Amino acid sequence: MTPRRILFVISHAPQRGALALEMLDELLVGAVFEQEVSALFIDEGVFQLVDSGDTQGNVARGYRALPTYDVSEVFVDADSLKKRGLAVDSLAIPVRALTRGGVRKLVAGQDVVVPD
Amino acid sequence: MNFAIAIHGDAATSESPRLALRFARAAIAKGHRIHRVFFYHAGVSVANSLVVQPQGEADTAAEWAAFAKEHGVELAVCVAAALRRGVLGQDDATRYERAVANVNPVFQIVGLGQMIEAAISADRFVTFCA
Repeated sequence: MTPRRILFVISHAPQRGALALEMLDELLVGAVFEQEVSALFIDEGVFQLVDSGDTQGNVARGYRALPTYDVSEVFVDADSLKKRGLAVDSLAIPVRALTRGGVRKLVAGQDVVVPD
Repeated sequence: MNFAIAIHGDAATSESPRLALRFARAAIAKGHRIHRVFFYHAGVSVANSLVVQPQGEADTAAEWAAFAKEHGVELAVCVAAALRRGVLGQDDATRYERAVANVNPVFQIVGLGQMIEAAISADRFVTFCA
């Protein structure tokens, strides 16, 4: 069976209790199942990739594990970053920034989209 | 078409379980199948059999259970998310030395792998966020 393209869309800030970590768990399990898993950080979700230091539930530390799993690619919405005064190089892991048009194309090309 | 459904919100603080139930009923009525309903995040609370609804208010959890029995639909609750929210099957209650097990037996207690399996197997995977 050909692997499915599964995109996890993270659009919420990390300060929601266990929700951010649960989403990361879901994403990693998808990668273990050898699907074509990728992640898109958009809106407040871009804050999940900011390493906030030694705070409890720092999910950015968890996302650092992505390259060791077989996660195809990590995308961010460039507009969301800009609006929050962030830049690609201020994030915890390497990402590919997309325009809104690029985001639409990415989503349209998936088999499954899982929002947070 | 074969649908899989994910429910991310609980009945007390979100519309997610109720909207998902309406979707599921409509899908079955149109002749579609439902591969699995996966309860994740706060959605695991729908499996908590200790919840008591005030008289006259909709009991979405009971409606989900009745719907699943009637149509043979699998209701699956994520074990890790459930433990965090005090929703325990008998095995977990014993293992973690808790006084009660409260999962409605209509629900299967499963791992996250079952969510991914559903996303792979179903024609459409529909999520109802909190």
